[in-house]
Amino acid sequence: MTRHSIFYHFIFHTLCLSLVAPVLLLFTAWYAVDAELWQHVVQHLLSDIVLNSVLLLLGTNICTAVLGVVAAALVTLTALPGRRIFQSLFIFPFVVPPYVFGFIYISMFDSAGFLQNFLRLFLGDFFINIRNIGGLIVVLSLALFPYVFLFCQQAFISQGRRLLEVAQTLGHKPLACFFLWCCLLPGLGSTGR
Amino acid sequence: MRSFFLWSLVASLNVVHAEGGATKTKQLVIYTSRAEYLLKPLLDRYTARHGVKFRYMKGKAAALVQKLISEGKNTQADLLMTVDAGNLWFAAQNKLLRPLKSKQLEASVPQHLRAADLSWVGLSVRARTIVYSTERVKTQALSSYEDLADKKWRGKLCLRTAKKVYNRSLVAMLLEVHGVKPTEAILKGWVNNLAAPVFPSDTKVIEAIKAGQCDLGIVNTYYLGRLLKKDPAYPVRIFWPNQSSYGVHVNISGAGIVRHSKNYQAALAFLEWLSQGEAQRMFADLNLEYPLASKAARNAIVQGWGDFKASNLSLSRIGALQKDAIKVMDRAGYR
Repeated sequence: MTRHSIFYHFIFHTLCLSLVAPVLLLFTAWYAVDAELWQHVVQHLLSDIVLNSVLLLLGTNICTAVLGVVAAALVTLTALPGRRIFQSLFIFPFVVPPYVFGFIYISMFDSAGFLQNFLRLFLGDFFINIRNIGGLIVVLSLALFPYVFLFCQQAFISQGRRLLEVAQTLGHKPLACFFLWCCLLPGLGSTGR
Repeated sequence: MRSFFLWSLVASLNVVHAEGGATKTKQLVIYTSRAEYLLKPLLDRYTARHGVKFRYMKGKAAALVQKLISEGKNTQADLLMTVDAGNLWFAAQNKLLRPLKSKQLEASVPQHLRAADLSWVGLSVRARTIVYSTERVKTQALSSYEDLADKKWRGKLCLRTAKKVYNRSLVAMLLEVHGVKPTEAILKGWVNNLAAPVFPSDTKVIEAIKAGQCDLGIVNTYYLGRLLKKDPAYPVRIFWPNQSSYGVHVNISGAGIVRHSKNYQAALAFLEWLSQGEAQRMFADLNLEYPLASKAARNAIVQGWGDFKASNLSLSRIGALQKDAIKVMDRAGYR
């Protein structure tokens, strides 16, 4: 190694260390672990936390995949009117961070939210409660499905419709052809992650 | 011409230096979780009266306490001003606040609303009480915090999240009065009676009562006060529970002098000013809270709620029971 490259390595590693240092500092908090507190968390809270996390993970993955794939299929594989407009609208959630999405939906569906007030005019004392795991899955899915939509849209365009049309001419039902065709798309699996 | 310009420049520098030397500006730094619009009028009034300027950092109480811990002796803060005795007690436990000697504070702040060593003092009082819908609930049906666990309130109760320190302090009071098992049973009753998942704020609880999602809840009085200020006909009212027993749970907004403050005398003078006279009236008025002195003048809305028997349980004891309160809430399923 030359003196120049040693110098640049030093600068580079110092910069990296300064960026990582705040994260490393978090690990020093482990020296102050309260065993009694951890026992309480494990006994009374951990099962709920784990269950909610698993439900959220599975639910959001499934809903995001369904929303993204269906949206991408509608704008690329059909001749529906207005699909060009929807192509732009479906990526609109990108501009809104998921937590802001959450605030918006909470406000709309609050007791005093405009949507609840509107529904109350027609349905009386009927409340749509979104402050539960189901509501969270729906809101997160609406915020995150554009990622799946974009990748699937590109995959559908690049894959082309020929395979789909061949399957249909051989007598397979359109929905079955579509599912089989989707399975051939590696892009769908990667965005599901 | 050039020499005239240079001499003028030197003369002006001397004037600036002379002015800087003659009037030393005092400044206090406050770490506060209190909203700016509740604090700034007081600070401006004190600056106008006494010439002391302020810088303040706004943040959540827990974050400010952690900041003080991290800063240690290098902190620039002179005062920690926050809400709920639990937060102040925690700061004192972490040796962040300085014990004080002040006859003024001892006289102005009731004993149960301050630390024994005056490391923190209350500056205003807030009551956490039952609110109910005037359209669906008769006051004769209401009596106590404990009664809210009764089956007759099934599907009619709205509560704020257990994560909020106000509820932790309320449960700490119940622990001191009843003990662990009865308090856990009361909380389980509350949870069983919930009409909706717990709300993130007291205002949402009150709005839910108005909207008909539930019939009653437990909130701090000033949240209802703010809504009544906008709409005096708001169909939710206050009920004072436990009047024939230990009284309504009260807590404080308060402050303490930071242990490593470099302006102890100025900070103490400010704290003493806040505990009496016009400062007391302003401090309570701005947020529709109660002043320290029970006989002191109150805001008209606050006065309209009438007198009540307040719990005189030591808030230091409430702070000490916070950890147990959190455990009981978790065991009872109150999230």
